[in-house]
Amino acid sequence: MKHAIHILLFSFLFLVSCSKDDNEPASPHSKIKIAEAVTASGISVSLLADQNDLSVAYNKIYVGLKNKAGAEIKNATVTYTPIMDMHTMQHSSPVEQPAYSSTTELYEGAVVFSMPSGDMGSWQLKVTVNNEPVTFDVSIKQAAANTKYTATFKGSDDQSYTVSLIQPAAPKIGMNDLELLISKRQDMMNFPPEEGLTVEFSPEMPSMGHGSPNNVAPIHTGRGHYTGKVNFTMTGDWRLHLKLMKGSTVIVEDASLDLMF
Amino acid sequence: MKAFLITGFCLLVIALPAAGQQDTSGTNAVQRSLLLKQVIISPAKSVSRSERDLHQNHLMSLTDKILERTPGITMIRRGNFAMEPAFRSLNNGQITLTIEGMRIFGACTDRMDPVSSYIEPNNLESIALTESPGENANGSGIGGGIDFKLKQPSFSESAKTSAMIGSGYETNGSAFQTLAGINVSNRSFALQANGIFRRSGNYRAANRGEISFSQYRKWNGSISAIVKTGGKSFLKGDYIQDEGFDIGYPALTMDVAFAKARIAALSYHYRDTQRHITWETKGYYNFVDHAMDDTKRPAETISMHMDMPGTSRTFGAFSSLAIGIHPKHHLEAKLDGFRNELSAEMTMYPPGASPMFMYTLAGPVRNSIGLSLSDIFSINEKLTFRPGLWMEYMHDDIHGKEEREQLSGMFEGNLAESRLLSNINLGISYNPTTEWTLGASASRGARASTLQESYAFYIYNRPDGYDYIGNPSLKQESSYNLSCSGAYHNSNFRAELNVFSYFFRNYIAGRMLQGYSTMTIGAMGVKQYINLPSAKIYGTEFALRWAPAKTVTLSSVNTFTRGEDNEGIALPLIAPFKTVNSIMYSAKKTIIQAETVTNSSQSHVDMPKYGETPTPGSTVVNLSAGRSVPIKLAKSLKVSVLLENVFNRSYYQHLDILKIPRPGRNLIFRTSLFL
Ligand SMILES: [Cu+2]
Ligand SMILES: [Cu+2]
Repeated sequence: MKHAIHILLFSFLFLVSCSKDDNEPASPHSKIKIAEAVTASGISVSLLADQNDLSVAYNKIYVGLKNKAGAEIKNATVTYTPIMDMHTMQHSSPVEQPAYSSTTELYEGAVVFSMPSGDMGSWQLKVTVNNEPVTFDVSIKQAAANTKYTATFKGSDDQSYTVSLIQPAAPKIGMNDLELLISKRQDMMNFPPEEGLTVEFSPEMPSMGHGSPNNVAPIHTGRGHYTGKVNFTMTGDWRLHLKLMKGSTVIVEDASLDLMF
Repeated sequence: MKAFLITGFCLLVIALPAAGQQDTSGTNAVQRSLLLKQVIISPAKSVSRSERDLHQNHLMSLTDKILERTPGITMIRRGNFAMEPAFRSLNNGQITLTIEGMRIFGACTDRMDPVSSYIEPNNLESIALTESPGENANGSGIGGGIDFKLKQPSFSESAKTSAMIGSGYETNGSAFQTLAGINVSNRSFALQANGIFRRSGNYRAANRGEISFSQYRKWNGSISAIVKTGGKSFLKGDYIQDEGFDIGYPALTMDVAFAKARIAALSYHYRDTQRHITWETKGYYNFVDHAMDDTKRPAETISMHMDMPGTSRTFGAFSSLAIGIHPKHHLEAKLDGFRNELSAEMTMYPPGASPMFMYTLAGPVRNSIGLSLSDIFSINEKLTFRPGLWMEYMHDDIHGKEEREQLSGMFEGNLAESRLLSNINLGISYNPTTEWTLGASASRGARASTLQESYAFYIYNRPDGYDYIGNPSLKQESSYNLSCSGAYHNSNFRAELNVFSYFFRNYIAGRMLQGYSTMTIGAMGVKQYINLPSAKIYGTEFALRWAPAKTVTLSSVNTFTRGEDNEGIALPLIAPFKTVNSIMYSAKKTIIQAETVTNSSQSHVDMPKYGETPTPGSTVVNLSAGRSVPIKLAKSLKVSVLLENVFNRSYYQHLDILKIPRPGRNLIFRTSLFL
């Protein structure tokens, strides 16, 4: 009976909220436009993100394309190339190349910005649409104090591994999905996903020194993504301790990421 | 005959409520009993005048102290205030604590606020104990329950007003109490209001000096009114508000900033004395608000400041019907339901990092509906049967999205739990002659895990130093109880003996969890509540009273319990042998009493499993004297002086958490004026 009431109540609220949406201008997504540019051939390129600011972290980045007539272009080939210009040298960072999504009507990809914009250097994101490049100057914010959403670790095999947190994007007390991207530095411009590592995992609250039970170590699920579970028993600052192994060889003993909520 | 027995049994019982009803009308076997069952605090009539005087000056003592003197009851002590009652060493969820049949649950995760801390002796008429689960009409449990019976205003033929004021002072801790009460009554309306304020500083233990953080401050106000709605019926309203502040708990890591309770009830009463029918229907609500405080502790003892508030909200209703079919046959039925919502949280403030928040009790809610049936019938002058049954359906769940999410990380599967609990009792008493009463009872008790045992989220338990995690899938704890009693009395001598045993199944206890890190800084590890296959508690109570002269009474009350788990290991919080011996002189206006309270040592303890260490024995001598002084313009003035712990012994008892020494010598003065 009570459940029936709940269902009724929820369906009512659902209807109300749906009808509200219908009144607003149709937009299949709720992304924030952060920049816009036009290619040489006149294609307008909108750059979108989940937040106003891009930061030192794994950032989902979206692109919307329109031709001169204002029609949506759905079948272009789009690639991202992040470039950090550090005056004496340039480097890139790990990227997930975009693919078109018919639900959001956007090209969806991601970029891991590994350091903030500032005196050290500045970031540009080159978006290539069907071989036509447009370049956006992007400002990358420092991650909040006591957080570290991406970090690079020197492996025992002399390779550099970048570990970036994808999930939880909005951590809560209790069980959270954990998703990481692990990439390897091939050279300054190429950071391919690292597949097939074994990851040991334990969270800790540094200000108290305790951990939490029932965590699930992330396992590789494709394209360098590793998914598991993390249990946050309370809000506050949490450190995710990760041990990266190739077979039984330990590559990185204590890779760690920090988050706070 | 057989059919009659079975019918009687099926009709269930509640000996105590039934007995309670009769009490108001005068004499009753229960009330005359020396051992247990009914502790009169504010006698309406009956008893001798000097005894009443003695009681009246007890109104200034703490409910805790009255309970502590009650045979069978031992108090778990965490500070100088708000001790937790245990009955035959059964405690917490194993017994039910109710106020006039109302369910109420403390809000503190550290058990700082047992129900008894929210009522004052001046709210109470009596404390009723039920020792068998099926006899208890107020809830399911292993060992019956303690019902705090509120004082009742009563109608009077002519308009009457009476009032009293009193105050007391205790040298140890400079404790001070002041109270006042008023009664107004006429033929169709009666009202009674009472208030008390008490304050105490830190007390001193004999040779250990001042015990820091043993202070308290509180007030309690209550109002109760009845309005006649017919020749046989009346409406009654009760309201109690109790607020404590700045209460120290020397045995715990935190104190209490405030502990507040509001208790309200409205009831309809129908009494047909000719047809021996009593029918009561009541609706009630209570809210308990509790906040712990570590800000007054020295900085070096606090690793990190934290806030730990908690609330408990209960609403319920019951309807109970008692019918005296026949002078020798008394039936009672009760339908009872309640809902209890708990919430407790902890926020820690680490230096230089963001606050850390979690629920220690993430919104557990219990809904329950119970049915009680009880019967008392005498086959002949000598043989009386008391069958009783209590059935309860209980549903526990977690309220709130955040709360559920938090627990999703700890417990797998469904968090909700439903249970059907049944408590059955059969008591027999046999009076071969008027001097002798022999009794036996067999019962089956069962209780649900408490909401703390089901859903605790790193709740620190100071006695063993572990963080506790609940277990939503705990099986109900049950027990088979057997007891025998014998009593002899003649005109100036009375002796009573009880022997009892509880054989538990699925006894709820903590078990160490490997690989869990502690939440509380300094905790030894993490334990989870589990069911032990079995455990047992057994013991005896023995009491004597002898009046060698009209004015002199000697009495001795002795209790002993012992408990073992399935591996033969001593259970925790089991009181050792205790004997209270007293001599009382009571003349017309004067009463003098000397008493010794002796606890033997307790060495039947277990450190590795339950974290207990042995406790040495102790003996304390107390003296008291009271006198009623006739004065002008008032009915009477009562004065009493008490000297507790005469020889200033340094001592503590086995149920004193952390073995903090109890108060040394304490001189108490009390006066009350009756207008
Ligand atoms: Cu913590
Ligand atoms: Cu508390």
